[in-house]
Amino acid sequence: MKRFLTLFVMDARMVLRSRQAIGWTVAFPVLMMLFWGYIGRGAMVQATFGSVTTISFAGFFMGGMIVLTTLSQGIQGYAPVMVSLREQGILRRVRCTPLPTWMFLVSRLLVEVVSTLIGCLAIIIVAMALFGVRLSWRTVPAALGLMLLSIALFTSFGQLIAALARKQETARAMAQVLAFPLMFVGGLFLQPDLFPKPLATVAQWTPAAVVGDLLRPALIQGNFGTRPALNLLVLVGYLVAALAISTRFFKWDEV
Amino acid sequence: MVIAATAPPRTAIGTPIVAIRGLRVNYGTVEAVRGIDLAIAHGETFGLLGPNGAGKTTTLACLEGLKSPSAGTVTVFGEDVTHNMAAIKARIGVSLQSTALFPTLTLVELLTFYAAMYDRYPTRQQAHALLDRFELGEKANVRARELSGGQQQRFALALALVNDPELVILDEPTTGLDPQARRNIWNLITDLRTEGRTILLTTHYMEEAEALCGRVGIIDQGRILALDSPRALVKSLGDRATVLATVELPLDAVRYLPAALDARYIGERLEIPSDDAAATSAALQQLAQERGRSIRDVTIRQPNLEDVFIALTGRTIRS
Repeated sequence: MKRFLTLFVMDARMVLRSRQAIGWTVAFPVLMMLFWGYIGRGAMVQATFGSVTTISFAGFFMGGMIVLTTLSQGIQGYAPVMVSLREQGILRRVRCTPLPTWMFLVSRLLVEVVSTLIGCLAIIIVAMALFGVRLSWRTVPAALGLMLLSIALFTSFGQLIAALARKQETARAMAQVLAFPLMFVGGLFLQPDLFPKPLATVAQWTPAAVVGDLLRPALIQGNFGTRPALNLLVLVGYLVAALAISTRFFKWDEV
Repeated sequence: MVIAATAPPRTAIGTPIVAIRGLRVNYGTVEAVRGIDLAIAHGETFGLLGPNGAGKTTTLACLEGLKSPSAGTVTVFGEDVTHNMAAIKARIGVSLQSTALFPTLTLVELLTFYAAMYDRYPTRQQAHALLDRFELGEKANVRARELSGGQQQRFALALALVNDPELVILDEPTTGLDPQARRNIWNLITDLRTEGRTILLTTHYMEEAEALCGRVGIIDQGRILALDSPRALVKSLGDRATVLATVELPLDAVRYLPAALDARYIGERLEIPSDDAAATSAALQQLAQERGRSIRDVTIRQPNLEDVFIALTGRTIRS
């Protein structure tokens, strides 16, 4: 346990010393919430793919911003860092020690989870304090679980990219190519009814859309939308597939 | 020095620590190591000497648990590397070719981080003592990315000792360093030997192998071509020495001088390996005179490991 705690503390220090990491995980989402919350104050929107529901724009945007934070942190934040550690030979050096590799990965993932959760909580606090968003406390614990699942899912996508990309630049490009479409077709910020029907049919099953479909109502409506079991199953399917492929192809060494 | 939470079992001087038999390693269709046999005893400083791509790092990778042998067996401390690598790793210290440090952690934090990977927890005082030993005490709270190349290499050595290892594996520990920094690293490695640690290092610097190693394995194209003490390897060349001179003459003419074995230019300097350097030198000066060429800085260099490498492979280690 002492070993794991030491690793966790050191990994956390690395994140805290990275202005870029702090900026993208906490500062950027909070600023976006402040800006768009102010622009859309008082407005109502129809939200979610699974069920047509009218909610406040701030509540809609809060849910989208949380999913975006987990998505960008997991894919765009995690993947290039892992590839960079491999490129620099740091993963190789760590493998020369008797440390079980799973412990190294879990420590880094836990830091990832904690920092992303802090970003998500900051968004919620701003939305509640400044824009009158009310949480449905009954389903908040489940919403927290969904946030964790979302972090795990998108970090597994990041791990998948780290497994497939050899160079940091490639990982960065792959992360952009994956993250941006997920972001835009996932209904995080655009209302799904604006999409052409064929696009909406496909988009509703994309990972960010499914997470948003579960998380938004869990945060503010006290339910999980119209098809919670199916959505959960889809998310777990994505997670298992990403983990299986990344485990198969991930390399600790460049060679 | 970091005090061990549980002291690793110590091996008696002279006991074989590393035993490699018939080692072959493939990268896809490329055979990087082609049948190496090697034994290293406790307390030895052993050097693998060879050019880039000779198979040195791949051989080390098998000992470090980074690469599995394609064929053959490798045992360290009597344990097979394919079966009990965790136990082996706990007793070896490693410095890789690239220093590979987490750039935003300070040196004390890095020592703490890597020590934890060995389940060891040095006090701040112990970490500082280790840094002092490598003349890095003043840099204790400096981030790794701010160190110079020589300081990074010294720190890589300090990290290799964080688990108080019996066997220290150093992959090209002085590559890219200036002569002064190289000398500093040599002194530190000599200290490790004095402490009774077994050292296995790779290098492509002949003078480094001669200065540090009790035994040397000359490796090229995945095979060990010769294995002995530097002195014995050099002695095996007999009376061979090299005539050096700054002169412009066609190599075809020079090669047929008395006792000359070959001739080549390294930059502007002419090098002629010879079985009778005095006779070759006299004949060279006469040839230059006959052709009206100016000749200067004529010297005779006693044989060294470079000459051994040339005698074994027909080329210089730099080529």
